[in-house]
Amino acid sequence: MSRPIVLIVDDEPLITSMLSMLLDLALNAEVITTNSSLHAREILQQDRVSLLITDYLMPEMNGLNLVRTLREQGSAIPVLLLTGYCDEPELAANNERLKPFEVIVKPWNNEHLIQRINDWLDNTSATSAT
Amino acid sequence: METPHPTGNQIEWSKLIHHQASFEPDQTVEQVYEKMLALGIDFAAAIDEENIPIGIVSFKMLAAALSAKYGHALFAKKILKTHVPGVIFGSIAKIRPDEQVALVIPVEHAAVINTTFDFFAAQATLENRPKNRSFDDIIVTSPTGKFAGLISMQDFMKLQMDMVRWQESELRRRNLEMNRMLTQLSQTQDELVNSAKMAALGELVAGIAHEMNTPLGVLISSHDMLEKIFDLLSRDVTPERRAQLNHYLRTNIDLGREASERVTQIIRSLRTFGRDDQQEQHTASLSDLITSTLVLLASKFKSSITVHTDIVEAAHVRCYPGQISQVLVNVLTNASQAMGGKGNIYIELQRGLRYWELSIRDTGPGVPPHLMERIFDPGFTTKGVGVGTGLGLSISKKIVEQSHGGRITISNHPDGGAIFRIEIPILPREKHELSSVPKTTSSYLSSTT
Repeated sequence: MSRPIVLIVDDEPLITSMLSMLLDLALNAEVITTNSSLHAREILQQDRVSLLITDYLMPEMNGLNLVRTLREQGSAIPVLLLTGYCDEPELAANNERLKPFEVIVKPWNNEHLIQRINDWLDNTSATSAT
Repeated sequence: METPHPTGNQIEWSKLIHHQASFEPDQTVEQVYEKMLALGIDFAAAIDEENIPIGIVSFKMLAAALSAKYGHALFAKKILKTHVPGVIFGSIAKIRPDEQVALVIPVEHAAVINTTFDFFAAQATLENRPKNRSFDDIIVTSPTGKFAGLISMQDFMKLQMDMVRWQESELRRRNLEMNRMLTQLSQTQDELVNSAKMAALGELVAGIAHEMNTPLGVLISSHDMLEKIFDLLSRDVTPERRAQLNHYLRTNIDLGREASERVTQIIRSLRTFGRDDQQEQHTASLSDLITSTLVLLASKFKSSITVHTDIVEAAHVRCYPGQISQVLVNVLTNASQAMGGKGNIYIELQRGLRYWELSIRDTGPGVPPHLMERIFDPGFTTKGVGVGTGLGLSISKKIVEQSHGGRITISNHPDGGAIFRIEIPILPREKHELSSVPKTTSSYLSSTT
């Protein structure tokens, strides 16, 4: 069985480097990173991504709009949105319509984050197996 | 002698007046003579039945006139006007009843001192003295021209000197008071500048905290991971896995260092902005101040504003760095608000002949021409209630022009948007450096998380 692909998008290279390493170390998954949300959108159209981990505020397109685009295209890829702006009303307002979708607050806890990623990946594989 | 303090009509010099020094023309020579002797005065004023002064007589002249005419004092009991009409009534005092207090010289040179008895009026009286004769006393009248008393010229002169001294001390006092008020005003202005700075800082705090969140999060995550890596390395792992773990170890250290530097940079920027440096100027680099201000604004600009910089390196100025940062925050925040939080900001810093020339241009709608002149007025704002204080640009003007001898202007750019031009004097020693100044160009994308 092929390894799941996790796409990480954050305009902050510090974050993508850190997350990439964390996932590499903790998961049996292929990790792709990008610092551009527009590039992420292209990757999502071309590759079989199992889980998207995205930042919220990014210059070209924010994380929510990226997820919206994804949903408009009929994709049900689970999304973890990492943000320090967890109080943004826009996030709360859109939470339901963007599912499968989860907000994780920065700074994250490594263990919790890996746990949530594993849960979503397990869900995805269970869904695709049925 | 204690300096008198005249206030309005309460004139201290009234104490110097001989209120009793008057006689009526029908009084006898002896009566007048005795009275003057008793009061110890050299002059007395003649008053009519309505108490209006009509002339003046001197003790010596009185005695001399009598002696010359009669040779002795036997006739001294006769009424005065019969014997010395020329002396007393040779001239009639000119009274100005419309004046509240008048000093009257009993000749055609009569002068009036106004109600406040100010120095200049008194001086005018002296200047009006007849040049070809001397006299020693002056009649003082009530506001309606009634006799109030007599004042000797000697006392009057002394009074004038006191008035001068009082005027001088009053001037000194007012000067001190004005200096004190100026100091107070300056302090208030400093406090205002500081309050505005703190208000700006308050608005930036959430963004700065968020900006710190990224490197701090990386540090926390890195620390966790290092523990994990060391734990794995202590186990029996394959050489490939060991090599991979060592690579992670290295990467973690590098990321940790970068995150620490990021935090340090933010703290340094905050310190520069927040420093209370109103007492002393320092040599600082304008380029560094611009960079450090952009660090503070990075999160505020979030994802929607791109800052393009084209700035010379160093650009040293003698300045209050915290205040210059404040100006930059004010102007950049203004630019951001003018664009509704979305657009581009172009920052250029170049060297002029005497000034470093900084321009900050936005891609907003520009300033309507009829508002252009008011843009630096205190309290002027086109923003809605609760958006800014309307003081940012006026304080920026004060800082640039009054505290730094520079200049700040605004105009509309031909391609659209407003452009602020800020000029800060070049340090004298740098003016003579002939070498060209290196430039750095970048497109500063505010980091977002």
